[in-house]
Amino acid sequence: MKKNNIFLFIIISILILTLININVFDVYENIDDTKNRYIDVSWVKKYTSLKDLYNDSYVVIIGEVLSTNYRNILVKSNVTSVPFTDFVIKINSVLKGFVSNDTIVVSQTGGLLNDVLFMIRDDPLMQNGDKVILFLNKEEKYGSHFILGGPQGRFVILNDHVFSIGELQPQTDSITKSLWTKGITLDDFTDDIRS
Amino acid sequence: MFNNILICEGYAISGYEWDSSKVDPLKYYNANSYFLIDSAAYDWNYCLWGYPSLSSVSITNEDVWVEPDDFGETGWSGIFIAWETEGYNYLYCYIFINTYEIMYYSNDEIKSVIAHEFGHCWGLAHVYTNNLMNPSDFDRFSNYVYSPKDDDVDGVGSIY
Ligand SMILES: [Zn+2]
Repeated sequence: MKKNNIFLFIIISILILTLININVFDVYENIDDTKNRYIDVSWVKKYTSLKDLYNDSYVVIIGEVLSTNYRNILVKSNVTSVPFTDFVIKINSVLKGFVSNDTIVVSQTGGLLNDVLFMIRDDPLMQNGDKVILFLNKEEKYGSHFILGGPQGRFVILNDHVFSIGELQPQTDSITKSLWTKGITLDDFTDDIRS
Repeated sequence: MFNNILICEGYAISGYEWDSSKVDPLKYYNANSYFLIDSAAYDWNYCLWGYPSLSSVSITNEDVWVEPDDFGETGWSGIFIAWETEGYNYLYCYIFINTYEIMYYSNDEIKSVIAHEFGHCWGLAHVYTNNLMNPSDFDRFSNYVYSPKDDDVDGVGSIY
């Protein structure tokens, strides 16, 4: 009887894990990778120090990506839409500015259009569960904040260490290069931006 | 999901290109008859005049759509979307200029943004040197890069 219970427990666990996996990855199952659609943009601003980023931001937060919502903006001529993605970020701490809720909506250019994922080559979309530090500009007309300088204003926390987007990408060069943190600790990072 | 970018000395190739039977001169659909779009295209075509391999073929007017629009404070001034591809061949591209972000740009600077996006249209990728394909407006403008440089032109010449 006990052996049967253990067996049943293992089977149910496997089933649950499989279902969780399907939920996490089903967004990507519909994406047709073979079409290789990509976006390149010309960035308006260039940041050469964390201090500049901090000074230019309205809000700076440490948080975690909770959910992803795709939306598209139809262009004036109606020929197509440009894909955007809104992320709900759970705020763990606010390093600058004022946020009234415990979540904030942050947008990135790129997203899902006709079941195909479009991504900016040097600014890949955030993923649910990502732990991030975001330097944000003021809330804009769609009720969300954009990240300052695209990939430049986003840092990822891995094992309590902070990395810029360029450091996590295989390319050797990147617009984020002058902001590379070489994986400093979160404490050192927050000290740096306030110094 | 992206193929590897081939980086040469002064230019980088995205790996995407037009079928070699349809490339020169650069033609496009200018959605708002925006004169700076024509000006950026003229700069490219003028620079590419010297490449005999590019003399007999053309992108048709419907293959590249260029349009200025207001996308808000996105952080980018121009966007290039490879809309339809067949393998690594472009079938159709969109270029949009973000009128919100170029509000305080000079005509030369706006032309630089459009010409940069046209560079992607040819199949060029980003470089971080003083060339048109540097993705930072700040870097290009502070080095007065408003039209294709020799390296950018060599890049296109190496593809077609
Ligand atoms: Zn570009």
